[in-house]
Amino acid sequence: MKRILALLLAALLLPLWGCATAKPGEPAWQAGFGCVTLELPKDTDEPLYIAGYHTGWEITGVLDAQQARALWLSDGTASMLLISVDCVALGNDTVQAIRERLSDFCRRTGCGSVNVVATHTHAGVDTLGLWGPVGIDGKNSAFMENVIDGAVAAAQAAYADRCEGTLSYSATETAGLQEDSRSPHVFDHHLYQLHFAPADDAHNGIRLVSFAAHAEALRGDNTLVSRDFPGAVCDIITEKTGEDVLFLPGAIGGLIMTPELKQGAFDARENLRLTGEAIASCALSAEEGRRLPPALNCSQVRWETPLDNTIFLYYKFLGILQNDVRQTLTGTYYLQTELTVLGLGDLALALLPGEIFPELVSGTGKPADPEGLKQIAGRYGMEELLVVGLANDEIGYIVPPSDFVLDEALPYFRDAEGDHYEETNSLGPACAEDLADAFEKACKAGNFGG
Amino acid sequence: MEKKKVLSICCVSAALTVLGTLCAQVLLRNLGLLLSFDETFGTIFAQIADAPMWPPVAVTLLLSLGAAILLHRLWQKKPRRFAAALCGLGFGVLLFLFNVLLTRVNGIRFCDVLFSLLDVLEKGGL
Repeated sequence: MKRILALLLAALLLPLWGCATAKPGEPAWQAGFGCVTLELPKDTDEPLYIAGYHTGWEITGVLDAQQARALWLSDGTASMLLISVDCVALGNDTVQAIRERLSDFCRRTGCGSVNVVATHTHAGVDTLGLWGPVGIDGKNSAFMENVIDGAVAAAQAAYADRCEGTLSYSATETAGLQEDSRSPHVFDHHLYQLHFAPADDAHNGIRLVSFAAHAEALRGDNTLVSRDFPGAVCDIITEKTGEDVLFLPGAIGGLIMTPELKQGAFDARENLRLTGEAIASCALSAEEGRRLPPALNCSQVRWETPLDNTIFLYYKFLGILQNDVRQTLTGTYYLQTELTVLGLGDLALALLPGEIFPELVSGTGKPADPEGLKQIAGRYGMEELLVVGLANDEIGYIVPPSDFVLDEALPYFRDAEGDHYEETNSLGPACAEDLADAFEKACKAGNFGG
Repeated sequence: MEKKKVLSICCVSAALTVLGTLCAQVLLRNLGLLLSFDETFGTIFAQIADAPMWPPVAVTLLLSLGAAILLHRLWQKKPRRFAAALCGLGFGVLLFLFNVLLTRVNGIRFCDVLFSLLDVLEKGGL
């Protein structure tokens, strides 16, 4: 009788073992996921422009609606939010508005860092203001409210969804899924994943997928709202695994994009389907990866760089770009932005406010260029660095100074001869060096690597 | 007499400052309307109608104080009162133009945008 009772007790208690992966007092990862659809405003007098390619093109319909997806992550002591928004980019002013709306929530929950990343879809509503008619703010104020509301709601849902579990990190090699339109043809061909496995069956697993390519599978003639391949990748992975997924862009400056996978005459939707399937397939074939010890660290740095781009100056004057600026006595304007370095166990994530050229991450070795971010990270004990672009701001392309060339007559208005389009959408030649300095400050302040 | 002198200088200085800074902002906020003969420029500059603006108040105050002292000296000599009035008008216009050029709209001085645009237009960039 006693044996039967003991066996019954063991049978009752055994399933509960999986919920307690850590002994009381031991740190453990905690994660939660939230997702909110960003509806197009119904009653609005302002047009809805499609962002990414042409100025003044209005949206004609919806293929798949934009979303805000949030990850709540905690090591039991420190916690943070990572919100991925399906849009071309978000200015720091919008990110600050989201943080302001979450300020009470952060006080209540102890959330130490709120980070907002754009997936860079080139098929979303203009959220930066650069794709209205030339010189006219292309943002729709009602949609921007929906973006802020959606990001906040997704964050709160992620917190409510939280549970304990393990966090793993993997890097999978890909081939034939990226093209670089500018030499040198340098890009990171890995697909990175952070995988959260919950301790109980009541919660879904969560994947954070990062890949370095512009979200432009639909290409430039499309006028339908879509999340492009980041959305397709998330949907396919969820369909196959039941897990929740967020997408983060990597180092995509240069310009790194996916090739046309659709053979023959171009079919945008078919190309989107094929691209989503190809990238999702890489993600699904990845091995589990190595466990990350539960230790969360966050270091945010505000920094500034000269606003050399005349067009960006005009857009700031007109109120389309809303970063803070200051002017020196010599007349130079400095634009203010931020970057964040997150430590997840022994993995570092660099959340950068623009589209950095991959060669600035690995290092070019040229005297005119700053030290590579990976080398800088290595000096502060971070052997593995994952770069995320379009995080907490969008300052444009971050171009190596050694290859920064402007048109002599009309700098920033015309591309210089050769492959120099990215310069016309960058703050200026000093940006790369200033970013590297800010990154080093963040690494120093963060006490990463123990 | 001394108190009256100081008071009148301060009043003239304040009036010049207020007129200079306010009138500059009125012009900038209505720039879209003023340029409406060109639909493109009119629409573009209409966007700054409600923008935050910071005129160079401190410098304007100093300049207007200097101008007020000069005007007061001129005004003391009866035959020169007409000249003083003309000078006052001239100073007012100069201070107004000074403020238009140096007022910051969304943090950027109007003169920086104006001179840059003129340069670009000259080179056929727009």
